[in-house]
Amino acid sequence: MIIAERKPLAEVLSMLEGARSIAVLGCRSCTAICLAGGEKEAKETCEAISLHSELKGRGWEVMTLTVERACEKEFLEPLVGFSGTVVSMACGVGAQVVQEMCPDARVVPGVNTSNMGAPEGMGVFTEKCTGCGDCVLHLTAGICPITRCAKSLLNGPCGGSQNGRCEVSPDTPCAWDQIVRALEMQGRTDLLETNVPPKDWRPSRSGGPRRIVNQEARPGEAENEWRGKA
Amino acid sequence: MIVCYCCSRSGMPAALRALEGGGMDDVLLREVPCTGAVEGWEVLRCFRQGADGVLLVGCLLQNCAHHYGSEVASRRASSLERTLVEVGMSPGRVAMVHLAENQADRFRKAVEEMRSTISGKEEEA
Repeated sequence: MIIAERKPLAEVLSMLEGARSIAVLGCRSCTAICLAGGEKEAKETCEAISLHSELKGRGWEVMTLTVERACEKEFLEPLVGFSGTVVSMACGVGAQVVQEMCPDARVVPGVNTSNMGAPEGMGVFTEKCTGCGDCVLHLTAGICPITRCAKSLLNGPCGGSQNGRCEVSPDTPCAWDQIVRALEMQGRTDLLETNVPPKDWRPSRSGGPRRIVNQEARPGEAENEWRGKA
Repeated sequence: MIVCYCCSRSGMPAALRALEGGGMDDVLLREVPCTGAVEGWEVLRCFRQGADGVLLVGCLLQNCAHHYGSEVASRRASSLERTLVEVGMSPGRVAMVHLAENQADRFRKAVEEMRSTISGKEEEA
């Protein structure tokens, strides 16, 4: 899931200068799970903005709406035609799709999108995947060295690994220490002998926005012609 | 008007006993299963509807019937306090009160403290 955290309210309010009609958009997917932009957070932001407007006489009309997934256009139908200001509590993906669906609206982010991760415990969310485009988890006992090693090393720990901790921070476990222990437990330490060549970063972020086309899910030429979209 | 979200286990019995003593005409009680269940937007809406202050009245720390409820509510009260200041209200309008059901005095004291904070801020303004 995508991990995000709420922007300070003062920053959100500063982005609303000149607004008249405001929609606070929550998302029931990732940002709801990480307690940043779900229905509750969207409602809270809506109430706070409304209260500020009433106290300062801004005259803003504020409403809130929460959709199932803000990154899918189908769920954004209720917003089509809206031309005010949208405070997006969805991740950066959702905010951009909202802008595509409402070209006349001004979309402002209500959260800072951080990473792809997982909940570790109550209120704790840790990054797990960088989306590098060339997964090596089969060699590393399901622990990603690209994301979880501060240096993204592929062939073992660096000299800064001490007592299972990363030299970057004593709060951060050394990913390679975890990998070695997990491989020992699985009886697969032979994988540590695999020489992983320097990483090919081309499938990663170096070539601009990435696009994956699943031909199987695409309508064929005949379908396109039938729909008049060929 | 001071709106008090009282948990059904500790807060509500204490508040009802305090109300029996009189002098609490400006207090509105709202019973909730646990103060941890009170959402931030509900508290903010109270202010939009005319409340001067909001008290979250729940169990003593580490004595909550829902384990972490009153602890969560306490942190939420601090967070809401910051939110209210950011939107332009004076500080001291949201507070958490931890008490047991037989501590009506503690409830009364919390209400009086909030009243004096609010009236002090209004005089300053």
